[in-house]
Amino acid sequence: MEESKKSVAAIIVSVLAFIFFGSLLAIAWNVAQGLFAEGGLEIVALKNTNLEESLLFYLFLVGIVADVFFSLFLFLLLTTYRQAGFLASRMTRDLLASREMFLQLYNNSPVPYLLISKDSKINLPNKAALRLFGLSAQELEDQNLLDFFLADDLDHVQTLLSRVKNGVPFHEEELQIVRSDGTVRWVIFSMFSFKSVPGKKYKSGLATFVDITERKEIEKVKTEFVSLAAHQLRTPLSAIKWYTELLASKDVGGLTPEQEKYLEKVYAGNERMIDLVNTFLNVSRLELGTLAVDIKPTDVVELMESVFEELEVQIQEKYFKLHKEYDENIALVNTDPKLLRMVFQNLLSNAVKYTPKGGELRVEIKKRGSEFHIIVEDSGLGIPKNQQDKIFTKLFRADNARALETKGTGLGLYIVKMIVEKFGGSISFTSEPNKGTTFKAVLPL
Amino acid sequence: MIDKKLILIIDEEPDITDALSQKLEQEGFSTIAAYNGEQGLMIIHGEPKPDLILLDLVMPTMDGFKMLEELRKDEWGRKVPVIFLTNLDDEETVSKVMKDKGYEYLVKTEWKIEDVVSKVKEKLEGK
Repeated sequence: MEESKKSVAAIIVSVLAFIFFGSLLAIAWNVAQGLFAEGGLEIVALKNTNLEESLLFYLFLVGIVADVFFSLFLFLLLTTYRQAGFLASRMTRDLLASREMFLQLYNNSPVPYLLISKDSKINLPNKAALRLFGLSAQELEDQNLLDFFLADDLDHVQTLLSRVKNGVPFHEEELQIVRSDGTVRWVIFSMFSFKSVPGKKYKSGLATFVDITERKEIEKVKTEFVSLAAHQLRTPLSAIKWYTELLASKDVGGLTPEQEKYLEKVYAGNERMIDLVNTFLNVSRLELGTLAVDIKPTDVVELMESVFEELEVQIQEKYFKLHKEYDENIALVNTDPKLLRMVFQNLLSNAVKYTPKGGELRVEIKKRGSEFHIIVEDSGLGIPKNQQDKIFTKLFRADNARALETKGTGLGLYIVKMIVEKFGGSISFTSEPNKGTTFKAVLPL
Repeated sequence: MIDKKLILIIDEEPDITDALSQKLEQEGFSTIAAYNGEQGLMIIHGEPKPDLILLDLVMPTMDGFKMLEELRKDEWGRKVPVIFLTNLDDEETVSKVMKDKGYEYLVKTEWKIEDVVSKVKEKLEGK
């Protein structure tokens, strides 16, 4: 509304200017006409000619055109000025609105934010940060951020802050902070630096915290439940195992051949139960993310050979043609031997289980740049084409595998994939029914 | 009379303590059983003192962690060999127990009973 009023004013001023200068021109024209008529004014070169009158007429026309242009110029000037003012006020309003929006988002965000100065002092805590730390803005402002971390974490936090000061952000560090009332909360701590003036060095850092205390507590409860459930399941299994061993050792009396045979079956069944409990436990831990990765220099060839030793009896029973190809330059690899062992165990035991007597088994470990490849190839059953996309799915067993061998959980390859991906690697396979399968795991060195 | 080494087995399950006692005694050891940490401590504070302790972790009244803490409080308790024989094998428990070097940690289902006895012998021989 205001703008349209200003536009009308500009038009009125321009029209008035046009009328004013047009009137001046008309007066000048009339005066000039009068002077010519009285002979008081003569143009010598054009004296008493029509040209004299024409020139005056042309001058009058030029005057009108100039008047029109001047009025238009005035109109444009007024309009531009008005628009510039309008733009400036709109930009100011937008800037204020933007600032207001930023402050509202910053202050009311459910994620705690803090600005951290070069000397690790806290500035501008938002409302969520005040709730997290249990302090008022006045109490939290200017406090040293390091004072809120556990003593054991201080070195680590200082290293992180130094990194940010050098322009390197960090993300998702799981740490504990101590609130004003002494309670400890688990947080995901992230931080990046920003500059208020281009080219200027570290100005400040924005620290964000995500409170994950409840998630941690749930994880803890789940982990404890899984551990205790495994403990309770294993206790009777250990008793069966040991009493079967005592009976089989004949220290408590002899056994008939038939009793011995039955005892072996009891023992084998119990061992299978132990394996099942261990497998379910591993799956739970992998899924919960509580199976810690313990990376250490590992001789992967030695590890593979130890798995071969475990499967020696089954391999001998099936008269396999074995081919082992180990890269000579593959020395120690930084990996978790316990987890990698599970990968080897599952791939090898599947190959042994699903390859008929007299079949071939090839295992290759080779180094390729910054990776190492594990290849397990067999001449076994193969995987039916229409089931190949499900082979890494939890509890899935291919129809031909199920028909041949009833024992099996369908968890082996699921575990393999989870572990390989946990290591940052990948696993693939090619398979031809009744010809065999080749699994290839690619892992970082 | 041959001086037999005394093994204290602390485990809440009588089936487990009985099987272990049976095998260890066959192998020439004396054994004594306790079914929780508190009973274990009572035996330790009396005489004769055991030469080695087989200790479970999950037990009523006083669990294996608390029992170990109490055990460490005196000079003798810091020196007596301890083998953890349990079915807990989560990372947190293992690292909690293994913080102090010199302890063996065996998961029952993963060990044959004769191998447990071999471990006891090794530990007593200071290997």
